[in-house]
Amino acid sequence: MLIKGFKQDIYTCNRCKCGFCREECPSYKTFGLESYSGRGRMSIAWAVLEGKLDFTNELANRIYICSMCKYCSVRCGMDVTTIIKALKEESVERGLAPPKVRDFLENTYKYGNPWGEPRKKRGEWTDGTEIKRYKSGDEILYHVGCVGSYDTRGNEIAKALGEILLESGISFGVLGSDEDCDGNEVNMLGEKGLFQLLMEKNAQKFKKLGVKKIVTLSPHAYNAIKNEYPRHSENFEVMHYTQLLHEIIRDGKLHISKGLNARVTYHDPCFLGRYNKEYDAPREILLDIPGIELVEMERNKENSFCCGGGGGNFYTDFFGGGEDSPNRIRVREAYNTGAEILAVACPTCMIMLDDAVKVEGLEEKLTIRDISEIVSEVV
Amino acid sequence: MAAGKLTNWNSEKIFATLKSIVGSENVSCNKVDLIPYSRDWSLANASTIYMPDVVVRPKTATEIAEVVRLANKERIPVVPWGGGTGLSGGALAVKGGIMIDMKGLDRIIEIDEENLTITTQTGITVQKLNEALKKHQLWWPHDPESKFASTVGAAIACDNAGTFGTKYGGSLVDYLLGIEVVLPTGDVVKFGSQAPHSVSGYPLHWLFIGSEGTLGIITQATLRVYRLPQYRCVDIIVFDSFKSAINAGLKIIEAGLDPESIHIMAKEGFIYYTKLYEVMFNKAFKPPEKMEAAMAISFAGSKDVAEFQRSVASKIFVEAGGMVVEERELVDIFWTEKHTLSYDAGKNPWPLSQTQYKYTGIDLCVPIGKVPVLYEKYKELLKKYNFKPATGCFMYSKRLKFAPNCIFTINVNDEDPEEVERAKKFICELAKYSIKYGGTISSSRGVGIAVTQSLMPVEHTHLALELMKKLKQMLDPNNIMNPGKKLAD
Repeated sequence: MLIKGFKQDIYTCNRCKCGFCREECPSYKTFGLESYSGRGRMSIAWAVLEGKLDFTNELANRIYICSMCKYCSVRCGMDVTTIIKALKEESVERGLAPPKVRDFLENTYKYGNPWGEPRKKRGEWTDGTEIKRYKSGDEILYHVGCVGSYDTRGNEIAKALGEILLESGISFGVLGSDEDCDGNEVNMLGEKGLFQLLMEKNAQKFKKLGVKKIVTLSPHAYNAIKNEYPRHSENFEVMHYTQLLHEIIRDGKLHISKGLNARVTYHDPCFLGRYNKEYDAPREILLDIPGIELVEMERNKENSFCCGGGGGNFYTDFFGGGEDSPNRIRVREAYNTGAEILAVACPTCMIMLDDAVKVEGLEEKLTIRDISEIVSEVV
Repeated sequence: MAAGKLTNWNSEKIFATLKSIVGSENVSCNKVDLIPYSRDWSLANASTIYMPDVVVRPKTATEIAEVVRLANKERIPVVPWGGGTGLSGGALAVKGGIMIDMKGLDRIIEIDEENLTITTQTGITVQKLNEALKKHQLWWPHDPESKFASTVGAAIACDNAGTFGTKYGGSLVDYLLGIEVVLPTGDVVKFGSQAPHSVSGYPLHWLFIGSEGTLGIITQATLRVYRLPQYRCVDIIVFDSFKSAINAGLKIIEAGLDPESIHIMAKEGFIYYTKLYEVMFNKAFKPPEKMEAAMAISFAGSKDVAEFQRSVASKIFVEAGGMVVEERELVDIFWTEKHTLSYDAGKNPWPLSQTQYKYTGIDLCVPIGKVPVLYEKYKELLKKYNFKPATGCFMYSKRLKFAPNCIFTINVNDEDPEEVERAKKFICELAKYSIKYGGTISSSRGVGIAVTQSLMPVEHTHLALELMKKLKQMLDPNNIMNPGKKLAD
């Protein structure tokens, strides 16, 4: 929808201007000017509607730095994030998406991933494992997503989850080189045409294969398939992997045989937490492991602070990597809990926080581990 | 000589100098960055904006001093900006110039637990300051409803109001021990100290309380803080008139009780919470036949003391004709909305959420005995000017015990210029009554560029205003510091 479709909300913000969305906004924390905050972006939208501001490259830049973490929407009540997405959609329509965003979209269109890696490499991470291709009748389609498929660190997480699923005895498979981008980031970047294309393509594929249940490695994929694919989803259900693991541990289908003596803190991924309100399953899994002491960061659950990787920023890197970039702020916050392990449940959060822990020089003191990796060690 | 707009000057050179002072990433003259600084929460036509020429985001007093020195030399207006939630336009660049976003100065310098003082840079929000203090079991009881966004500097410069004024103060006079200020000439001066009390010089740190950025830029403050109370109990009591609610409050004080907060609201404000209660709990609150006001009162401290005070207070309220609200969920909703600001208002399609109207009003203060008559005038003027009362009138203690900070509210269609003008007339007429009753035109929001600026010569004598102007001129000879505000030019 174009921003004029949100006129009432945009004008409401402009009347009120409470600014409660501002202080925990990742891009505001990094760049400091009001234009980088939720309220600032609402001012920009208002000025566009009022004819006081033109769409320019600078405007698009302020909009695209938003990592779509949804904190502003939670704080406000009005869906500020959706209005920011509308600003992105208008930027795309006007040909003003920043070059890195254009590269992301073009690569995804051509190759099915933002890096422009060959499609055939998508399934290479399964080489040397017992993870099989999905076949009709398998209980679960394991959707890995772009980061799990192509990023080296993402590959490790993808394998860890695959090994757990093998251990559980559940029949499952991956699509390997036939898997395509789920399109969550494409949607968040405002390219609704391409997103529609990916959605149709994936949904048809799922239908053709007779998929009944999809389990995603990434909360981003989970969000897209769960919330954006609804009209295609009559035939299959979708779960994030932490929801599945929590379920099979609870039902005794996955047995935790070892303990882990460690102080652990958990980072809520935006697309699992604020977007889908799943705060408990990852924590329950960690609490099921003997020896783990779970400590919370100051900002958690609904108030969790984004790693900065959403909205395609894990690729476009608009935050840079300075001291005030969200991933570095978050790693420092995790370290301050006294935890040895910062647990994540998202490959994007993993690569963002893994980078940050190195830059912060905390590698020896704080390890970033995906819950899939932790669980694979104790089953 | 009045300062001119930056565009009248060698702007390229000035931008370059500003970049060299605060770093290029902290300066912008791009319209997309200036627009968010062009409006605040104050009453204005829906399309009105005041654009600064450039925004800078310094991190130290030294950087601010250099920016101000440059501005003073070049006669460029300088406007400090805190949270941008002002209700009087005090932080808007009405004459263009350099907007200084103060939120880069967000460092707490010292927390002195033994002496119950803190020293902090002033760009930190009230909420963030209290989050940091909480780790030490301390708090700064100054609690404006804008606390998530508004800054310590703005609290001082506007002397805004907070919930807990009944016990702790609520005016910055009760908290502020010392400050560091960048004067309009670029000099950095410290006033006051950590001493709880001093008569050794003129208390110039207090001069900057309520100065609205017209005398200098407050960069650092030493504040009195308190231990977090162990326990708090809250009640709401409804009354048949505003007057009986006030009288009951006075009796509480006279009885020697020490309430932490007293908040009296007209029924329009209270109905907002009862409506939320209906929505959230699917239960209806049945008010007494005649209900005009509700008082929320809290006691805090050790549990025994707080509960004892509460029980004594309950008896006084009943004797005064009040009815204690027994629906605890309703009381909790009020407290949650008021203090954690979960802001469900934004999620509900009621007029209060500002989806259709601009919420506005005026912050008046009259001697306590005059509040009921001013409230009657408010109701008369609502009819005269054909306005709905928004949240009606609410009041709490601005300074210790019972100094009424009264907010009279209306809903305005800000897309209708005629209605905005009518609202301004309503505000002015009510403010004139405040002056007539021995009160003031502003008790917490400041004058800024509000319509009541025209009433400054009514509230203050000619000589008093002249002295204020001379003081301003002495500190700010080139009138660069937030020109057009408070005293006007």
